[in-house]
Amino acid sequence: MNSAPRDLLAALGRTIVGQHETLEALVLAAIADGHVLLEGPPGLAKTLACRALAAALDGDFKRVQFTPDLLPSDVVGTRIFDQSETAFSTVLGPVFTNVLLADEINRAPAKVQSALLEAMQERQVTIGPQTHPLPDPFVVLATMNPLDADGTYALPLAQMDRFLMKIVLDYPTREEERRILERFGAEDVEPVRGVARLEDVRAWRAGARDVHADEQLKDYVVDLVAATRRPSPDASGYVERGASPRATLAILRLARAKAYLESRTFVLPDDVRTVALPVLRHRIAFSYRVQAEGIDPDALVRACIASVPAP
Amino acid sequence: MRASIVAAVALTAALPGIAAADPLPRLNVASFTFSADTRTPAQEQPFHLVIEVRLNGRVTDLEGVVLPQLGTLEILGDEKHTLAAGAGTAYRETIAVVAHRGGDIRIPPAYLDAIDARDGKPKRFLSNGLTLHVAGPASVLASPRAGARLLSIVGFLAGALVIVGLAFAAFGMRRPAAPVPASEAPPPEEPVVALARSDGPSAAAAIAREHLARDRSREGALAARTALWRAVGANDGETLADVVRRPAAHDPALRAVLRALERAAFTDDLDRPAAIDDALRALDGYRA
Repeated sequence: MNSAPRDLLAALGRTIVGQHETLEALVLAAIADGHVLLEGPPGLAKTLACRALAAALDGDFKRVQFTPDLLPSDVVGTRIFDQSETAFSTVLGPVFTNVLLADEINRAPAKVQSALLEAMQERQVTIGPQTHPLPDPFVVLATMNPLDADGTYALPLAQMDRFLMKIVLDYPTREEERRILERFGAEDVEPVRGVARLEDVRAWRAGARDVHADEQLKDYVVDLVAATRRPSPDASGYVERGASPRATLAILRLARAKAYLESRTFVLPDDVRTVALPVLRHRIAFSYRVQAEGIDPDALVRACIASVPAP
Repeated sequence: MRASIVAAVALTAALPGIAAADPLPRLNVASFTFSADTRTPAQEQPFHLVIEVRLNGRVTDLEGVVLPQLGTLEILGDEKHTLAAGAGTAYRETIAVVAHRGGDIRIPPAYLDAIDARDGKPKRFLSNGLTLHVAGPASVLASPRAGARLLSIVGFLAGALVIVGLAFAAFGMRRPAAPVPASEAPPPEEPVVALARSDGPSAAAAIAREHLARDRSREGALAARTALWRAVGANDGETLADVVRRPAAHDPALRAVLRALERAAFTDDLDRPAAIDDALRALDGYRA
């Protein structure tokens, strides 16, 4: 029997307390065939959420802890000389999986980060003379800790753009933290397994692509992204570059996925507005003034979104 | 487009002065809205009034948007921007104001005189009006004389709006609806919205139901949706999630209507007949 994406979301909710936005983002990423960047302080169950997704999907899961001495071949694989065969053979790296957790992705230098680019965008990896397709589905879930800046390398904008969305995690509420104590205080909690099959995910993706988006909503999406390129005079000194057309595509793709998750066959303005912030927040290049003046970049993105009237 | 439907109660400019004055710009006004970043500002706390005009077609600058009298509000600053938005133009004027006294402030619509590019006639385009409640001791209504004066002004404006709405309803009934390009979408449903806006949700539901039963198209659903949204006090730019949080939309039956109309407006053409049937049933349920 086929599973619905709601079942997957419910299964994640049985493992993780609270963090609804994060869990929904993971499910939307699976439906929309995209990658997610998770940013938040340590201890907010980022890694556990990713493990829970892989377990619930019944797919392969690999984790790579990004460190300053990591090499591209540690991620994508390499060719080694087999003396018994007197020939080179290919050893596939951990990127060959359904769910890849790139833990603390900003701790590895740019050459390793860019090794992920081809994988994330093209769904294939080239090792030596050969190109290897990645498993389907393939989802990269990358985490970043915004607090410890020492020994980190800022992600290039080109790579940030490859993430369908960026989720910023916050501390749980008091009630949620109390429930965390109840659930995790006594014994280890095993993630719920096998809620959906990989072919279910492929079917969700096809279903989401058929979700109807009204012409007005497409205009709304275009206007939202355009607003980041022409911010209001109040915000213009803080924005160096607006979002790319990839953001336009990402908003519509995610809005369709959200509608599909909610068992609708059509996109609503609320879907677009809800997904706009996680799609746009990491695709805008802010000027030094944002940091110098202690301005919350999300507030600028929200202002951009609010400046565009929904249909 | 909801905004385009609300836009512009356009008065044909038979009044002397408009056509004879300086040459009017030729504009295709899609929407004309007036909003505040809060409806309940605090005394001595600056806030913003925003006038937004959306035009079909590109213009480099838009002049002639006339601000209404802002009552007891003090103007602190005024910024205007004209930007290209898709194939059209977006004009946005942000007025920073501060209220020095508490009580209700009713601000009449802003207006813009222009030649309507759709029919070549000079018209006065009106935005919506605004009602703000300034937290603190009531000052305007504290004086019975001033209060009576305010009420008479409001009464006059309301009467004028009803007359305008009725005139447009009659005008709309006489004139056969002409097919128009989707990009321009001059709204034949304006009278529905204009009438619904002046009444509560219940009256708006009756008007919307009648209209939707008559016009079972996407545009008809959008007009009915706009009528209900106006009736619960929604501003342009809000989404359904904002609207259902409004106190006027707390009635579960009304929420069901709003959700059904949302589906009827945005679903695909295959599903629309069923969605409109659902919306009509929800409207009947609400009115019952």
